[in-house]
Amino acid sequence: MAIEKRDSVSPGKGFLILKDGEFDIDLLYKVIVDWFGKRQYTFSEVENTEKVKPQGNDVNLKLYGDRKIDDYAEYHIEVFIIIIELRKKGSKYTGRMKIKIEVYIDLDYMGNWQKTPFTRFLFHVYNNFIIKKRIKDGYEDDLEEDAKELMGKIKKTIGLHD
Amino acid sequence: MIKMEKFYITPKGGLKIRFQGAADFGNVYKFMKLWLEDRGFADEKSLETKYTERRFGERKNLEIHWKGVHKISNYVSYHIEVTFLLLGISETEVQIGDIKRKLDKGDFELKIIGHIQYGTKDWEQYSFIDKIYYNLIMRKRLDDYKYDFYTVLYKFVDFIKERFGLRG
Repeated sequence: MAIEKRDSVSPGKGFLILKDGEFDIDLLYKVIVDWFGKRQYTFSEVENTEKVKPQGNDVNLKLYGDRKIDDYAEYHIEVFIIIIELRKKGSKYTGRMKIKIEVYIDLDYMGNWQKTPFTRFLFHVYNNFIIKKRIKDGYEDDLEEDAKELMGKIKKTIGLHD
Repeated sequence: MIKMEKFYITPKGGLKIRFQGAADFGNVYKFMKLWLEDRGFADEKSLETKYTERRFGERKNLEIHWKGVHKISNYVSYHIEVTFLLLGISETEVQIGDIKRKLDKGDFELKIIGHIQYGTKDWEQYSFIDKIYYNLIMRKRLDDYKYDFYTVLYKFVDFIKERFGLRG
């Protein structure tokens, strides 16, 4: 498959983690933010929504991290956390949680090759023939390793097997 | 020639904070304003660019827009934009401990955008020395400014979340 500007490392719908039951959402949030910091990603909390409902709150969090690798590639990790029926139970919470992690490389993130159809064609040739090995074995492997590490941390925090 | 440049600290679409439930919006509004005033982003007159209230029966919708600017030097300024969109707000009484309090109930959505502006509109009026200083010294400090403003902006976001009782 051809390498596009947004070179996705995760599967189409992202990596999915589901958990019904008990977890500590505050700790999970902290673990993710700390991980982004430790791995030198710039963290953005793009959305933080909470709806108060009698059967338990609905929470929606979008946590993004990006890291510039060089002048050409930038790594992106987007974590979407959706929780329904969130209720406090002692010091922890119960609810139904779905975590989706989308991971991709933004190639030519400065947009230098996107100005004309001809430069976009050169961009395509450059990615798919000249530096293909660097993208596949370098950037993609490196980012996938980051994503797996983050997923491992998340799973461990919410009590799933890693 | 170097022109005025914008560097976004948040994603261009902004950071979204949304809360559905009961909150003391009057207090949130007041303390957010004070927070920005205390950190030099606004004074009494300069912050609010729009305040619209539409009533329908017992409920109301509010649209508020703020633009805060904190000037660092002749070349650099930090900009915070806050858009409030409050839908279906009504008054409700909530028992908190022994006290009954009047709160606002509804859908509260805030969008926060932050950017650093390098250079000003009157760039053409800068002297030759100013331009050299800008290109050789100021631009090298950009990362420091980004880090500084990022810290300030997320303190503001945390402050808002705390006011609404949001997690994170």
